[in-house]
Amino acid sequence: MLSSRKRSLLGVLLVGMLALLLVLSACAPAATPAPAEEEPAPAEPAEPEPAEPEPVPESKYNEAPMLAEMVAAGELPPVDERLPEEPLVEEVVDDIGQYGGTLRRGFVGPSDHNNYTRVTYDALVRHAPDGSQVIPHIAKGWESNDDFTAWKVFLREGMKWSDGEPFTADDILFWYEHILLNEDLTPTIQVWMQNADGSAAKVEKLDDYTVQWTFAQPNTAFLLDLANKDGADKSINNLAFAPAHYMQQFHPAFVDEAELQAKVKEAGYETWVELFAVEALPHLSGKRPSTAAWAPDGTTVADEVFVIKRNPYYFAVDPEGNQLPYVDEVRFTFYADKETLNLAAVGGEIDMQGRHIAMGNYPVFVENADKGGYRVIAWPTFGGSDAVLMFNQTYVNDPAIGEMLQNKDFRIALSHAIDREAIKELAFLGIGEARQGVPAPFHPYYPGDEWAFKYTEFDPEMANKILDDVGLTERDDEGFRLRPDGERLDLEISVVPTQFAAWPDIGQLIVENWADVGVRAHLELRERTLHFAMRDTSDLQIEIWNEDTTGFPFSGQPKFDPRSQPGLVFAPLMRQWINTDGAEGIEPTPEIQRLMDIIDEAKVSGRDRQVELAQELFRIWADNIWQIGTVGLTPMVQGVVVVNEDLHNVPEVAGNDWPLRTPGNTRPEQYFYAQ
Amino acid sequence: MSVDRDSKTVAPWSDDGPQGDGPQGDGPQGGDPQGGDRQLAVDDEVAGAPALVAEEAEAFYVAPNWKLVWWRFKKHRLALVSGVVVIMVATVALFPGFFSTQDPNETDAVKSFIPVQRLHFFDEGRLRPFVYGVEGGRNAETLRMEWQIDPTKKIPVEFLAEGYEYEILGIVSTNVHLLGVASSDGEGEIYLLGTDRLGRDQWSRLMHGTQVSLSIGLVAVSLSIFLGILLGGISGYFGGTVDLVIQRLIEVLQSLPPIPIWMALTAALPRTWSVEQVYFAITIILSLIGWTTLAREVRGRFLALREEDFVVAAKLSGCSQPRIIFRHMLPTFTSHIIAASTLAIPVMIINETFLSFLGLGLRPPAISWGVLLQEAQNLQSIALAPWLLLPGLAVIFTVLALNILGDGLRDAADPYSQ
Repeated sequence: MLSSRKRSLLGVLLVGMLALLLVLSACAPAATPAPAEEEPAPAEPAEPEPAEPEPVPESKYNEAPMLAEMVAAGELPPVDERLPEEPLVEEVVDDIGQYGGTLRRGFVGPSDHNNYTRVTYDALVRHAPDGSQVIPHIAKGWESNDDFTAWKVFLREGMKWSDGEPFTADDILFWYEHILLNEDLTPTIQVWMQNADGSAAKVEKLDDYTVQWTFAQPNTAFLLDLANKDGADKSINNLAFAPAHYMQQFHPAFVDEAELQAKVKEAGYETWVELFAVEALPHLSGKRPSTAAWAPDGTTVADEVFVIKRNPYYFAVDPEGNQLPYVDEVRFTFYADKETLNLAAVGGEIDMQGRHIAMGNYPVFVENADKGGYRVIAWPTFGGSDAVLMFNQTYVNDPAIGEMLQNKDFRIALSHAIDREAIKELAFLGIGEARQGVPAPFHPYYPGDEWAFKYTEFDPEMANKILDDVGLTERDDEGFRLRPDGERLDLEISVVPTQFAAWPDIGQLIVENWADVGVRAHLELRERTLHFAMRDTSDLQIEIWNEDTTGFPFSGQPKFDPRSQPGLVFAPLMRQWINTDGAEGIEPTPEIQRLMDIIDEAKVSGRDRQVELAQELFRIWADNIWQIGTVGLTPMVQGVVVVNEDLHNVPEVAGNDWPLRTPGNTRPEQYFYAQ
Repeated sequence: MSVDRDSKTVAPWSDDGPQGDGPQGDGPQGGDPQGGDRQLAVDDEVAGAPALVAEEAEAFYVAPNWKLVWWRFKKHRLALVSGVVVIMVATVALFPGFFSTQDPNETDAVKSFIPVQRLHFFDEGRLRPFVYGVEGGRNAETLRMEWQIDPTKKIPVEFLAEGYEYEILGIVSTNVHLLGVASSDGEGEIYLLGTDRLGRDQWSRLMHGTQVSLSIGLVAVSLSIFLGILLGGISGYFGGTVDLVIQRLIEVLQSLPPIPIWMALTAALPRTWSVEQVYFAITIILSLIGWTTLAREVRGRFLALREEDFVVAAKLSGCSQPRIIFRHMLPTFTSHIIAASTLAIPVMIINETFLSFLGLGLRPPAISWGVLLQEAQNLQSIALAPWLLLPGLAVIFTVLALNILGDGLRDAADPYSQ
């Protein structure tokens, strides 16, 4: 009897705990911002001293007080010696800044390595803040020959790595000869470095500060590609330079094999390739010298707190000659999940971040902005559509369905059946516009309103009529249309529940919309990796994703190129056909072949022709509606940005896209805290 | 206490009277004057009314087991109330469509995050239920949906109103609901528990979630009982090697930490399965681990009863083994099984809820309490729409009621024990 009473007590306790949990979770948001109020604004810059130049009359440049101290103590050469002869002069967004402070960001673990990449954006050339052009960065300039087959890249004389070693053409040559051309490190050469016949393009050193790339064919996408060679996706394939003096100790071409093997063992790896791949990237190595504004202090993205500190040799100054960056360090704090990260941001514990900030929380952020001591900026996406339905053009698992997916009229009908205004209200807080996945109106590639809004009006009647015309006239007793073989037509929409997009909700709405015109569809929520695998093997019928490559159709992995991998589930078996020279897979249709021809031609054409080709591409894209766009130009993808109210020079308007490495394109090195 | 117990030994029905006013539990005050007199007699002069006592004692001794349990159970007032709550929840689970006011899956773009609407019963002193209409829209600065009550707009509410079409138990199609907007003008809608981010009615979703969550609990427990009685019975009745094997199996299963095991098993469910398949799989997973305790109890009972005279007598009379087990042994502890399973249901409900809450159990578009809570598990809901956490209260009340009911049933299960 006693033991049974004990157990019932346990039951009651269990319930009590659940209740407590719920009450606690309900209280949490109200409670959290409060302590933040009392905290002395944690982002307060460490050095209250203004950035007035230390009175060293012969110096052309100014530096951070912490560096000046080190110089005075003899630990560091003077700023003039640290900067290159022609430093990069970066425009500031609003004001000349002041030195000091820590920029606090949140990240969600080692897989969130691109959080670092986006802040540092450490490439030879960069995309401009608005994404309209490529601008000099590490390279001070470039020059191509008339037919765009040879590109000279000019480096900065006297520029140094973060450890003080000179940065020269040899660092690019080291990458070319010992990373790109090393078959262990680079089994297949990236498309951007390939000649038309598949061989590697040539890279040669003209002098210590000039490097020339030579392609067998014209290459007009060269700079666009170069602007993304910053170690993104923690891949050595995304490099175009590396610190030769540091990397040599991990490369068999420079180190005795036994010695290297000992190093590999000691670091706990199996092969030298694994060790090299880690040491080649600052945020994985923690020690590798960098050319970015901040270099790791020994911590890495695998740590709970990952700190990158001021690079005393950073090659850029503001218009008044103050060496950048203004902010002393960037501190990435680990959050176990994105919900806690959002909560921390509401509490004012994050100084500048759009990554992982959920757009749906926008009202929460705005309402708590004063309490949390931050402001909220919206950077809408760069074009395209923030939720698209991609229809697999090579679905063969069920021929009846595959045939419907390839039917253009069927897709047009389904597009007209979607109530985009409802999606805009429910999933995008009422902002953005109903559109297809084409560039933004301000972009030169914009094909025109006719194409941007094609098939987007909500017209169930027209949809019904088209569906009847397509031949789907028979219906079952629940009102759903039947396929020619008498079975109910049932489409599957695969969705990955992600933090930044309400795609499952959007999918749910679309399923309802389609049911209204008699087309049955069901949602499958899939785990990301599984979804990706099924995408590659052509096992998805329809997927929901975003269209964010419209600004860059001719470089990287554009989603309208069936050859792109990763891409969307556009036509995976056509990619197979191309990759196997027609041995396996499905031959591209003329329309899809035209897309690829356009992309290939644009890569060897001048700017004007590229614009023409891009517009044609997007007209074909919108007209064939392989991809149904819903709502676009919203800040859904990392575009709701929480910014500490004391942090200045963060632009209100900026291009926002992955190729731009947003916020990297807004130049975080010139952000500063007002004293 | 001891006095009470003494009087009970003589007349344990003294509270209610053995004539048993039936399950209403009115007791002797129920209006029958004779009963009242008799009660007085029992209370005041137990020793002085031997005739009456004898008559009632006989009723006590000949009363079937379930009647004794019922008499005893009735005295546990809290358990009785809990029983009523459980019956109410079960009714909702049987007819969720009837109790809903709107289609639980119907989304509405311009009606997200409407707060809880209060139901007013009296309008100007007369019983004329209504709710105030709401009006609102998106705040241009914060982009939040904001709603105000519109006191000029009263939406009349009536019982047994006509609403959306639904099916009762999947058989009969009807559109009658317990509560609905009086259909005179058809304007306005009621949101008793507000709406979620897609403008779906939270009250109706809660009703449908009740069906799923409760039925998972019931089905899982039924499966557990089946396994528990079968394996426990075999183990206890036959003994020997069979007993040894089954007992070791139980020990192994009980030594496994259940939460990680459930998480592993549910995580291993193919993501390609449909909602219905997942539902059944989760039920089976929950019951596969839940049967061990009951099997232990059943075995213990069998071991004890095996040597009892009546079992030996049955054996000697040539009864078949199934007859001995099912006709003679099992009925002596049915009440225990019922009590044990009542206590197991809330555990199952909690398990389903937390698995779904973690995103490992049921997934939308299925609606269960766990799914509802999971959908409320984000900053937006907690900060902007705290009413979305209300399904948590449903879990608390139901689980509490089931626990107290189970407790009362267990105490009552052996009416002879003191």
